[in-house]
Amino acid sequence: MKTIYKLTVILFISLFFAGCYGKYDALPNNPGSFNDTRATHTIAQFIAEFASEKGDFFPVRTNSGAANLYSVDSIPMYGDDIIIEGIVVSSDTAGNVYKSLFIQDLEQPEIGLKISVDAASISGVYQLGQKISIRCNGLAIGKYAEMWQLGTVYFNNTEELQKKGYEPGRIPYPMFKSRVETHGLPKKDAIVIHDMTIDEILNYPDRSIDARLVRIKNVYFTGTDQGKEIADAQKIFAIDTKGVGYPSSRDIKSRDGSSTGYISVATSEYSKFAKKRIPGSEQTGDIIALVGWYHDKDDDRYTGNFQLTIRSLDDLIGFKIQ
Amino acid sequence: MKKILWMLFVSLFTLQLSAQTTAQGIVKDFGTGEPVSGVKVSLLQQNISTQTNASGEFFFSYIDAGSDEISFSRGGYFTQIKLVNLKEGETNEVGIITLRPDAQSESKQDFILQLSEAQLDDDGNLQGISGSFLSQSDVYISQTSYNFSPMRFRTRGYDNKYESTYINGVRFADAERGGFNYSSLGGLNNATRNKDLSYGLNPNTFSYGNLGSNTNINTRASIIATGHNASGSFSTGNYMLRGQYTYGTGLLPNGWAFAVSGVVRWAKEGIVEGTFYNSAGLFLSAEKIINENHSLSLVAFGAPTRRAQQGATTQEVYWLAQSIYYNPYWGYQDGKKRNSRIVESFDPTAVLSHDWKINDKQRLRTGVAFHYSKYSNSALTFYNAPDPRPDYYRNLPSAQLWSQYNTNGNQTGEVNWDAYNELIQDWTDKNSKTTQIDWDELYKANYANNVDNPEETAKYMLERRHNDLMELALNSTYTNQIGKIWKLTAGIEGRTSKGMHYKTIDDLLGGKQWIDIDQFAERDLTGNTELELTSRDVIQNDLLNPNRAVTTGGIFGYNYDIYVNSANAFALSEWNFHNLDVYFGAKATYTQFYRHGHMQNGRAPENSYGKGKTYFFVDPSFKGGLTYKIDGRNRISANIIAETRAPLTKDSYVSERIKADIVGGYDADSIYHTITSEKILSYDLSYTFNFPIVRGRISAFRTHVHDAAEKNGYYDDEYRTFVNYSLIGVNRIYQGIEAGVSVKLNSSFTLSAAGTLADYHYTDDAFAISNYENGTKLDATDTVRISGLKVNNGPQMAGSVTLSYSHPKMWFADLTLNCYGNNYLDFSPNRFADKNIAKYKEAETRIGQPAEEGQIGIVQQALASQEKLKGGFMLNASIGKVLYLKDRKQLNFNLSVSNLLNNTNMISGGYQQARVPLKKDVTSKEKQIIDTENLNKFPSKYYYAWGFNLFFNVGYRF
Repeated sequence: MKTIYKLTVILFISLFFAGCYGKYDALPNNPGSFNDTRATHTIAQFIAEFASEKGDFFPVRTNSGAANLYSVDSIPMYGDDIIIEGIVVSSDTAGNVYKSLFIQDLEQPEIGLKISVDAASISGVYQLGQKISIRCNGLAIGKYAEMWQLGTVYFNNTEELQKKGYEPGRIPYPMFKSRVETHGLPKKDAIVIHDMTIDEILNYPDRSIDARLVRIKNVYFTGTDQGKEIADAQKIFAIDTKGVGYPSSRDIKSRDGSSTGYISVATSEYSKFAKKRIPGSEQTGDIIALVGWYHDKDDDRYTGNFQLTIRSLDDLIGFKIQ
Repeated sequence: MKKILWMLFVSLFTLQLSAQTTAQGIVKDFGTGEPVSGVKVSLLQQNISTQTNASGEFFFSYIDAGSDEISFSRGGYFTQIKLVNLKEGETNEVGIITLRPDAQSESKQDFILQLSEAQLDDDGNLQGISGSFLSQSDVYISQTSYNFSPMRFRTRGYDNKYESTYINGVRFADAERGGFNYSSLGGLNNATRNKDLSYGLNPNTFSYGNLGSNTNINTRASIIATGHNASGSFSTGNYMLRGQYTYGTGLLPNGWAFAVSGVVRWAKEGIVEGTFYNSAGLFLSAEKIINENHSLSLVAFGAPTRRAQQGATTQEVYWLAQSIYYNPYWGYQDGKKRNSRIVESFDPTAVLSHDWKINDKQRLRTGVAFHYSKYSNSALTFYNAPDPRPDYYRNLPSAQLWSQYNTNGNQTGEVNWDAYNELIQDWTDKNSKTTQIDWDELYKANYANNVDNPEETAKYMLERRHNDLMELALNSTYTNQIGKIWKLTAGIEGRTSKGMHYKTIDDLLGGKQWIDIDQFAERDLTGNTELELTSRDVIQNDLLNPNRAVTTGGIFGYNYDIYVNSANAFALSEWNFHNLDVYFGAKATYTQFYRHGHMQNGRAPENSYGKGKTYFFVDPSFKGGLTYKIDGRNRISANIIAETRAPLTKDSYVSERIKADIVGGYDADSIYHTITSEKILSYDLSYTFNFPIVRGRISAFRTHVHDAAEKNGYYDDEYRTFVNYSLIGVNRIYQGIEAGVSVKLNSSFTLSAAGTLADYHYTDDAFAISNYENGTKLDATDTVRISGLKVNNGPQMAGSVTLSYSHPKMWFADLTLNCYGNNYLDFSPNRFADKNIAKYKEAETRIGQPAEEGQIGIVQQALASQEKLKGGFMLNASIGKVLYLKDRKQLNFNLSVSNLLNNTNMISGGYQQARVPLKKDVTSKEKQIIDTENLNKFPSKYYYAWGFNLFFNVGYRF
């Protein structure tokens, strides 16, 4: 009986041991400081130094034509570190931004940059207001439909001949992870939102407005798609494109006449609010959006257009959405 | 026929007239001199067996006179064969037989058990183990059970459910999955070593019998060897250290017997990277021999275990990692390896059994068992965050090659080799942030989220999937040796079980809470899907508690119970004539089951909550067989069984986590198909020979299974959902030959060889129902073209040769060469569905390589063919020594080595991924067509058999 008693004691000790094994304490929350910096270039300096008009990879996408709507410049893999930093101003949680991050320069918040990464839901890790720095060595900067983006050298080997050729591609996630650092916890207050009118955007003299986070006050949805009236049933943020995959454009105009032109809010059919009806033209409100530009074809009839991307319905202020 | 009957009558008559010939004796332990109970004593030439009782005594009645060989075998002892000359009409005294403990085979058995545990599947079932260990009398079984485990060999290709395991006469079988889970014994090998086994359709003494092996594990206290037995082991496999201790009192003068056993198994890291092992088991047994007629036994055991799992991965990843032990499930956390898949299991079990010897001829054995199985495993889950798996296909170097080559492998585009090489370099450098789970990033994401969205769901967490089972089983078996010739066995069985399935939060990884909605439904139901988002209801996992915030330990996701009740009764009648044994039997089984949901799921509000419909099945079974004894040394036997079997609940629901709907649907001709009992017809023919120098067996078998149900599940990365893929109307055939022979070369050397050449395949196409758990697609039916595909249940060709040596001074050594072949990878039925085959054909036409009529084209070949795995050889060896010390103490050493030549090219299993590479059709845009440039985008995932590994054991009996 003594043996049994002893054995039972030993077993209970080992059970306790077994129960605790493989349990882990939470990692400490050491996010570092928002003020840490390792940047070598501002975004503007970076583009000026490394992006060329035509790029160094050919052929680029066929549609690019003489206008160089697409370009790819590789950034040296070796040599000095080339590091940019910024604060994340995009979020893909609502599904309207996909496999990309938009950052805002800390010194020049009017300058932004789109970063293309091959990871769905990347905002889950690089959240709104997060300060990040990216070592760009070995990546590529280039124009995608005439808008700058940071990515990798990518050859789009598609049967659609007009799209075949080099373009800035998505950075493989492990490559992105090995280059990115976060600094501090997300700080939404640090994001600068630029108040602009529609006409100011439309008439902006160069492409440095792209990827800027703007607020346009006192606007209404016109119920048109780049000027063309939308059938009532289709007055939702994005229609089903049956797999083609283009965003739907929903024009807005200034209510108070401060601008005369219209600009389009472009929404992906994959966003969570795609099926919601756009606010009626009787409603007025403010809109916060990322400025985008899409100029895909070198064609006189088509000179490209601005596309405003709202990150979620929270970017529509003062509108009632059903 | 008349003649035979007449002869039978005459022989019966004459035998009844003469006095009975009987034999008796007693078996003792060579070392301790204590009686050994539970020894199988067989008269080899007459094919009659009995067992020794608690006092080591055995007794044969109604035997034939003449010279015979009498064999004594028991797990843990060397089998002994003795020549006897039985005198007519007398009680023949065989005397005292001493058996030598076989520590060598015990160690080898433990080693094999450990190897097999590497094959625990996600649900914790030991796939590679059959109960058929240590049947010394059958060469084929003893050879195959030892040697083929590392390759997931299954005897006759049968699933677990076609084999039965009993503990002290009570059947242990998971009511939902149909088989016995060997790991529930928790490594208590010493206490559970004593087994009575019958193979194939042959009748046995404790049950009606299953198709494959039938094992009764005898753990009564009186059968546990008297004295102390302690051992310590070192292993390079799953666990590193093992300590085991068993003490048996033997039968005490007051009629009581007690036994206790404990085992501890531990590894900080096993042979596979990032796997730890931690297990402690306790076994208690008490038995009271009340009087000559009654004995009562109570056994209780359980072994809490925590261990980490291994994941299958693609060939590319194994190549990148340069190791067959690569495991995608772990990553460094704070400098320590942390595995995301941790299994916790605990199977407290109690068996109360009563043995009533009504008289010399009649016996009633009754047992009741209570079993509570707690089983859970953890897994990473994520919400609006990147896929954290290190072997996620888009993150691998091969992704850089996508679309840059055509179907025939010619480069048509430009590869970014810098990126490709950089991604490879990460693996070469073993950059664990890329090659393993990056726990830092997961915590960081949650901490950031706490600031940004304090009320929202965490980005990453570890969930724990629970599959608990509570069951109560009763078996009662009555045997009556009515005369010399006629023996009747009858029994009843009743069992009731409740399976509890739910998920809890294991670790929020720094996050604050988890909101209980289906995130993927949230995303996809808003898009261009078949189900429109009407309200936020559809994404709720529990409409009764919408948007519930769950914290650590809380239940979420799904929560339901499966109740299964079944009962059966059987009778088996055996006649043993002089040259002929005949038996037949019948069984009837009633089964019912239902689902009870504790959550009202938003994707199935009408049929998820509360008690679902009860389904019931009545299944008959008939079996029969005969053994013709040509002479004492040569026997031919044949068996046949025909029966139906209720489907298992695991195969019966379209999506048991979500709703109570049973698998069923209309085919193209509007004919309704649903689950039914499967129909089985099985028969075998064996020739057994038993000479002093050579003994062995050769058998041929065939089993037809019709209308079976199967269920496959996989995670669809595109739709971000778990997909249930059910098959019904599945027809399979299992057929083959198997042979084993053992030759005693001289007093020291024995040569044994065993092999099987078999064919297990699907004979017809089957009907499929697919279900997307997040509701992005409606349940759909299809036909899967699986006719001719092989059943994935281990190698269908295997052979082994063992040369064993035993020295009179108790030295032992053996060397075994195994070979395997005809092993087929588990195929994904989805890839064989008509819906997909049409796409393959379209693709072949599109690329200008259409298949000729009746031929399989290039695309279909690449996407919908079953992979035949490479065969190969493996060399195993072991050496051992037993030392007898003073005072009958005994010390033994054993060193066993598996895969001596370190063959690391042996794929032991894995699966074909279900997902098919698709792309947008450039012309119609709408259609998803086969991406012919990237046919290998979703390659198969594999497990490798371990390379060189060893097991060293020191045992001490005192």
